[in-house]
Amino acid sequence: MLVLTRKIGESIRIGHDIEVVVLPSSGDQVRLGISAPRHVAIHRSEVFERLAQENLSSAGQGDDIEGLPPAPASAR
Amino acid sequence: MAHNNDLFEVTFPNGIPGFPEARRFSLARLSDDPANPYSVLLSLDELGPRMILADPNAFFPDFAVDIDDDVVRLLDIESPEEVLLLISVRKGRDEAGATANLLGPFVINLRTRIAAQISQVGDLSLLQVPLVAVQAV
Repeated sequence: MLVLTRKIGESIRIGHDIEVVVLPSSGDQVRLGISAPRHVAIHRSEVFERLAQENLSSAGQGDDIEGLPPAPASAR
Repeated sequence: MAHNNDLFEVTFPNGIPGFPEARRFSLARLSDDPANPYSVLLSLDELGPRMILADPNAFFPDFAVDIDDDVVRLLDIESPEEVLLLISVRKGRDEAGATANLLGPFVINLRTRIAAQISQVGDLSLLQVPLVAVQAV
């Protein structure tokens, strides 16, 4: 992994069009500002990985509603 | 906005987490019954996923999402009326074990037919919320 040291307000550029800026931070929390083209999806890693896992688990079920609850009548 | 169309094609320009290559999907309601909250999202690409999605209003009437400006631009959303919001659901061992993913809802622009799965800020437990526990009274 490439490791760079940056000060607050400094940034790095990934490729031609992705910029990551280090913002004023406090304690053990680091705030990052990210500019990227709209076709680049940005997720927090731990959420992205769990979303991917959940999607993979959800993707193999049959396309019928057997085993799924009906909508509550009050919501109709 | 409700989708009355029986079946239409949607494009996910960014793919969805876990299936980065899948772009083109069909979306169809699983039943003609107007009260049916379920739809199926089927990849039109080989080896892509098939997921069951649900109308969150049917189970979680208070569920709301924050849609980033980036997503608004990606989907070319001009008004909230164009937006269809769905959540993926997963079957459990029995009906009571079914869960919904409230952390990664699906946002679909019915006008442009462009869609994305967006990640919300929140606890990871929102990935598997029981589908039955939060029924409206």
